[in-house]
Amino acid sequence: MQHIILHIDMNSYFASVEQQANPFLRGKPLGVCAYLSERGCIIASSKEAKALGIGVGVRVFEAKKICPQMIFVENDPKKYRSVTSRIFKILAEYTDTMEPYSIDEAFLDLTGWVKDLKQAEDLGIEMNRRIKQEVGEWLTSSVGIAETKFLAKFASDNAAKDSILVIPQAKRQKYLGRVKLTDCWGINKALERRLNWLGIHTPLELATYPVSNLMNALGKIGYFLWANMNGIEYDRVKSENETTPKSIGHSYCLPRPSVNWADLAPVFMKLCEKTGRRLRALGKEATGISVGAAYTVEGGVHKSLQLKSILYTSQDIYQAASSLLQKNLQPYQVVRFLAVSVYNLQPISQQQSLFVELQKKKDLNFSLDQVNDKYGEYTVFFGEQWGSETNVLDRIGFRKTVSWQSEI
Amino acid sequence: MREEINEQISVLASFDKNQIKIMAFKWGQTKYIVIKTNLAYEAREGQELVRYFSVSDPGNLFTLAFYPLQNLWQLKEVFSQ
Repeated sequence: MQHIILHIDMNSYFASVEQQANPFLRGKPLGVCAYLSERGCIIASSKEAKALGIGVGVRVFEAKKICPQMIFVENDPKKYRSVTSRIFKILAEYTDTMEPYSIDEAFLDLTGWVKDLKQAEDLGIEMNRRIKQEVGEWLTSSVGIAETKFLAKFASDNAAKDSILVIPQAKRQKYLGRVKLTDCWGINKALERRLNWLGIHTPLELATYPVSNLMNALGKIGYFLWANMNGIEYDRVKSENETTPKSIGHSYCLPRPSVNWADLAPVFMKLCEKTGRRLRALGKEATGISVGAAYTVEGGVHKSLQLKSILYTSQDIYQAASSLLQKNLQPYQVVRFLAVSVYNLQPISQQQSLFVELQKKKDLNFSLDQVNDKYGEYTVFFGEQWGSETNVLDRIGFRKTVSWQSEI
Repeated sequence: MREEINEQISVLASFDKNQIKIMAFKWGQTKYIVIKTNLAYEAREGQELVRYFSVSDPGNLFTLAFYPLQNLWQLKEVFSQ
């Protein structure tokens, strides 16, 4: 049976949602920012702004120089998650195997639901129409349809805005022949350099390179890259309940960098509490901890530690993380960025602890989670977090996120 | 121009095909006829799943919020051009 995969990618998503909500913003250069300060970063720009060369990562003051009339709004993650939920509900009507890839992208396995690529294209047109009709007429998407996940995403990356691109196997080489290596999903500059070192400079050269040599040089990634270019599927679309995160974490750029742990501790505790909340919400505990920090000058810290004890409560995560971080921070270096994550996730052990104090801590965290679930985040919080109310606000990560629905 | 309001209002709405359609609302002594709902979305505030509606009359944009547990409507903000 012919495999048929569809990938949908919403265009200029956060900006489009803001323009959908507020018609006064439509047709104008718009930047969605994490912070509305002069040094705030644009995290999403409208197509009108992109046409002026103002994209993701440009600072507000830089954008104003290019376009003084540009409008800036603060991002609203709850709005975007809600709209995504409505879009994904529409998409889920077309297949039982849909894999949300990020807040604005999803893979749909249409194998068995359509008989050929043409029928899949018709479905893609219908999905686009329904999103505009049922969610918002300003929301557009690029859709890619092919026989593998890689080619479907490649197709949507290369499709024009608000359009569909179908790449049958017979036309694969024609499309791959038009692009650079870094235009292909999964190949960044670092990987490109390694491929160049092997004498590979284009996707077609990668397709014809001996796969055993690729694997000797790059390991199993070499096979994945070769398979992608040759239209061979090694992965499959996984439905949401099949995907679980390998780690959970949070990071934060400090608006006021500092060298004092007394200034960093409230923010770090909040990152640990957010991590703990998500860990417990998933019904997991962890045994690995990772911490990171970046300095205002070049350099930083990134350390991981596998523990013998279980991490479940926010206090335990904070204790383990802050101990690991403080041991490795360079004295007198000003810290501008903090990160914490837990890994080696496993289902919560149902066994009660023999140690009363440990059980009390678990029960306390469980109760605190219930209070915050009912009355809102940070209704109650740990004393170490005092002073961090305006820090570490709700954000949506750029990367692929398994838990795009997380509101923590 | 954006103005934050956060005041309770009266709303006339229809419930049709699992959707809430806002037809008009009264803020203070003034009645506003809604000609378009631009976007509807939800956000959790504690136990409450608040429903937000971005609606327009001929000259302005309003964000309305419905709090189902309290059965109350609020005008959150007003945008005018």
